[in-house]
Amino acid sequence: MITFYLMAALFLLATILLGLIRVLRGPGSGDRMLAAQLFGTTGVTILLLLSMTLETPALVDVALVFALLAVVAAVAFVRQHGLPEPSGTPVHQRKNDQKTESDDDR
Amino acid sequence: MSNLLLVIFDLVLLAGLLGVAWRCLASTDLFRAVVLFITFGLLLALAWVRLEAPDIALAEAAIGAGITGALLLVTLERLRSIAVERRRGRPDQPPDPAGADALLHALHDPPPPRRTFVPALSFALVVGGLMVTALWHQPDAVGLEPVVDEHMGVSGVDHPITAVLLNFRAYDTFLELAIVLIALLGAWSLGRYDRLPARPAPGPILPGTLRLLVPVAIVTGVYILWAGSHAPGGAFQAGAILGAAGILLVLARPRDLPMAPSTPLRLGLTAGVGLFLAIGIVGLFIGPGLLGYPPEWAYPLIIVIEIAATLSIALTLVALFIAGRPAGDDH
Amino acid sequence: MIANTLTVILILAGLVFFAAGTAGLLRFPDVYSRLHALTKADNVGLGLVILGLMLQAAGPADILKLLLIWVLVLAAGTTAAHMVAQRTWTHGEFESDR
Repeated sequence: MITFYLMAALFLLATILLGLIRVLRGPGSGDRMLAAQLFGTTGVTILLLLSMTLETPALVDVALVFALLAVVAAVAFVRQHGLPEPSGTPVHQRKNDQKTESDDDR
Repeated sequence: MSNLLLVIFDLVLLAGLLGVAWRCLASTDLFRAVVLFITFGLLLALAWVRLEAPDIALAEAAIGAGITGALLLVTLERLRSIAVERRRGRPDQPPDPAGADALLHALHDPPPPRRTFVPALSFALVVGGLMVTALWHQPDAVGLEPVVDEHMGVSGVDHPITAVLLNFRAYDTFLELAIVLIALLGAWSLGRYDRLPARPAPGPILPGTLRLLVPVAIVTGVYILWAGSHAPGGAFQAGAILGAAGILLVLARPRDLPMAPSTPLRLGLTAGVGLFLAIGIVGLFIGPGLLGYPPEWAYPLIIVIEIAATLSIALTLVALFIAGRPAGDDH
Repeated sequence: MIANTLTVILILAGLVFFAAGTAGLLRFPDVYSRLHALTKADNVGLGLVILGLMLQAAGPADILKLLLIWVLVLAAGTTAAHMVAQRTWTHGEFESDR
């Protein structure tokens, strides 16, 4: 059983490293944030599997803390200082006057 | 079989850590660097687990997932908005060489090619060689484990890490708490915030998640604090979890953030250091020495200090995240 | 014995979902479809792994803790997906990263 848990953990670690390709390529910041979110869930799973392998029940607490705080980075990402609040109008339907702002930013 | 697999797991983890660290430092795109840093924290927590240090893994989970990621993202956005504002004010003028623009550009310039390669390589080789030599001659030391185990009876707690942190080496922990407080004083001396108005999010999702997460975070924080007396956990981890919950509330802000009342806020911020010092000084007079406890009183005293420290750490982290003293205080 | 077999099957099924989530993250054409792939896939993946581990748990407290982890990750995944989609929808997919 322990060998099986370890193989599963190793497989999940490999998916994290593969997923890094999406972080490196992007292209948008939303893509990168999503990848980080997936890594968080995968990390929780690896911790749970390792807690069975290494027989350290405290690792379940580490997984619990990761699961609890997984949302903080995503909320920070979307609710940053200085961003105009979402107006509900998709960006591709807006007129030019609103788009200049992000062009300026670039 | 499983030993071989563990070795492979460690090697893959190590390669991932080094690769992510390298890409994070070499990235010319700051947002990518931040996401890589968050990933690095996750892999680092796994590395601490493999080094049999679940206490540090717990701290890394709370600080890495809950605080540094949000802090870096918010800082990045603040830099951006400063740059945009400056440019909008003077559209035709060249950017200020000392302003935020220049800083952003400097951060984005590609690293100088090859010129630094030979010095960097020789430096790495020398440092690496020194480390290998030092480790080679390292005798097989048993560390402090036997000494700590021998004295667990008088420590007042059942978890060796907590015994070391709160009893045997209490002055280390005391000074760490003091440093956190001094960092906050530094941030407060630089600026103030006036008020943080509500920013209700469109849609029911974020408020609903907050209603679920914040109570669970408070319970988890108390649980981790309590677990510290017999298992991995303790004041720093619990404080970081509660602080992260506070940061989540500050970020989402479903309603106006009230100005913290001045006196209770200051009492809360200094409770950890103050109580620790008071108990330590009492110890000086009644026998066991500065920052020492009589063995029969050790458990309740450690718990009291840990509760105060948790409260202080959580408040300090949120105050550092807001970064500025409450405006009402400037008379 | 039956519990062990069930655990293995459930965890393997979970791993399939993780693999699918990563494949979707890498292969899908835009941010909305990637979101769709991984927020559903990885939450079901974690759910299956946790279901498998519950069969091995020592007592009801451990089972409840595992369940709590799953609920928390579900909430985090839902919120993160919504937030990322909202920001991309209102601020553009190829926004400046500088």
